[in-house]
Amino acid sequence: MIEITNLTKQYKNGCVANEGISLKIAPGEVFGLLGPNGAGKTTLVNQLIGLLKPTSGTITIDGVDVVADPDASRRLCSFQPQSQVLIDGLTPLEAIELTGRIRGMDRKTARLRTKSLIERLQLEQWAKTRGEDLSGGVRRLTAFCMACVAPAKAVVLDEPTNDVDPQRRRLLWREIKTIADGGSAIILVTHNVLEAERSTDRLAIIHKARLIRQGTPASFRSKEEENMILELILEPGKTPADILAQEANAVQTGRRIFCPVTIGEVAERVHWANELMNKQLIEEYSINPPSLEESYLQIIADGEGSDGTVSNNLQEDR
Amino acid sequence: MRIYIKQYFLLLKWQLLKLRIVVPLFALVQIMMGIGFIVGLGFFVPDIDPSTALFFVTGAPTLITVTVGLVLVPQLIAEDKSSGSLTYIWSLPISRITYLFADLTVWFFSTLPGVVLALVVGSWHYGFSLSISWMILPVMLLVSITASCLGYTVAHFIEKPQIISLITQLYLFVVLLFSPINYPLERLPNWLQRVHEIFPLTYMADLVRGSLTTYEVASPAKALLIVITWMLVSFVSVSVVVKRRK
Repeated sequence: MIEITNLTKQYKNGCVANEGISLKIAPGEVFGLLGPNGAGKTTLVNQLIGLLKPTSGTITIDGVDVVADPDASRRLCSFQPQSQVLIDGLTPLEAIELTGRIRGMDRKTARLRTKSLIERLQLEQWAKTRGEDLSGGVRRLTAFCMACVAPAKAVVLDEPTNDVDPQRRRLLWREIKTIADGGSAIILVTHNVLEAERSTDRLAIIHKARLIRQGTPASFRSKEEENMILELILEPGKTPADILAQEANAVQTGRRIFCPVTIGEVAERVHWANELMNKQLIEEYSINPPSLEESYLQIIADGEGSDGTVSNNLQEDR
Repeated sequence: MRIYIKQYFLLLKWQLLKLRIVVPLFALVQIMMGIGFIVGLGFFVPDIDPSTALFFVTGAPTLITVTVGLVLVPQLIAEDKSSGSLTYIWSLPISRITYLFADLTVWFFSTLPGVVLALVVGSWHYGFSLSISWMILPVMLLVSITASCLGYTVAHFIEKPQIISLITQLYLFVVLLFSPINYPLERLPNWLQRVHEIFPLTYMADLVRGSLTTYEVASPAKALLIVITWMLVSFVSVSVVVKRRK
């Protein structure tokens, strides 16, 4: 269990990167950290893995106070950084196996585990290629394997899917789930809201140093559940004026027009959209519930006070 | 203790694998430096007398080792800092002192080809023979550890890689021209001689020269004491710097 209580980090230059953050992450849980650039996610993670010292507050992993004992945090956390891990000169096989052995595995176990990870992520063809000749995606997958070869109590992954192809992203998510099922708590820092929605058990949003919301992905969606989104895609060359004229709340981006629709209006709106299609004003249409991404952007927008400060109302939805 | 020894060898392996792409180039640079340094002297001083040549050539091991420690080490660490690779290494459950030892080992061995070559080429080119004592090994270790620890401290103490790079350029200038490594201390003005009585460079060069030739070090115990003091101070400071959390 990872327990972060009232964590505040103020840098020497006065910048407050984390303020009063409290979190609990259970073993086996995949926990997503979302937030805009510069929100304080990496600072939070760096305190967890013992690279930064909190100004105040506590962090315990399995009951061990890792603020007082940073060596323990390195034992209890395995980490994939946001930046590429420099493995120039080393092949993925060598880098992953060496990391496993540094984390206390014997040679045989480390080798078996490395081979199994390489197979599961379908990296065999690059297993013996030196780091400097690998693509960004393969390097990142290698760094992921280095973090997971000997999973610690807490596995911290900072943007693990950047540069990774869609096929291997799926394999990577499958692997993350397997590691969580083995009892590790996974902390996932990401900007990819869609992936966070699909792959995490719970999420937290950090904005301007504060934790402004946490809960399950489903709990983040719009509270007004009757709201649906009608998306119209204009025929190329058509002007939207005659459609937008009737839709005060419609938003247009390029050829797409988004109109909020209540559940009761759905049948009527489908009929209307069909008419637009028959008139060849639109190419196609769809009706969907609002996505987590829209809710996320709304939460961030709500978090901004008129004076630029962040709302203090921490909401917890489980 | 066993875990530290195991980690030391694993880190050493990591560093050697990492360096294998630069080793051929590094070896070439060392060979060129070793030969170029000795042959180039002939252009600086056309009618060099044997004793000056001996003094110069036996300064080369110190100069090469100090340059690697004070210039190359901080530059490579600055590179690791800006690439984020140091952040990763330090997130691993390894003792930072063990990591430091593994690094010091690599730096020590990386200077050896240049050192050996400079001595071989120098003694052949200027026609003198060396009288090498067993002391050369501990003395070279002492010089290498001290210089690398000083370089390490600077690289970790200063945040910005650009500043580290500038400081190392300054070191190079001071070490090459204003340090009595390749020429006798007496050639410097009085005030600079006083400065070099505090810093370890003169003593390092004297101890190395004394282990390679029949050169009489004025006060070997004092020289050894001063260099060891610098090694301890630099080792303690680097130990503190690498362990601190911001």
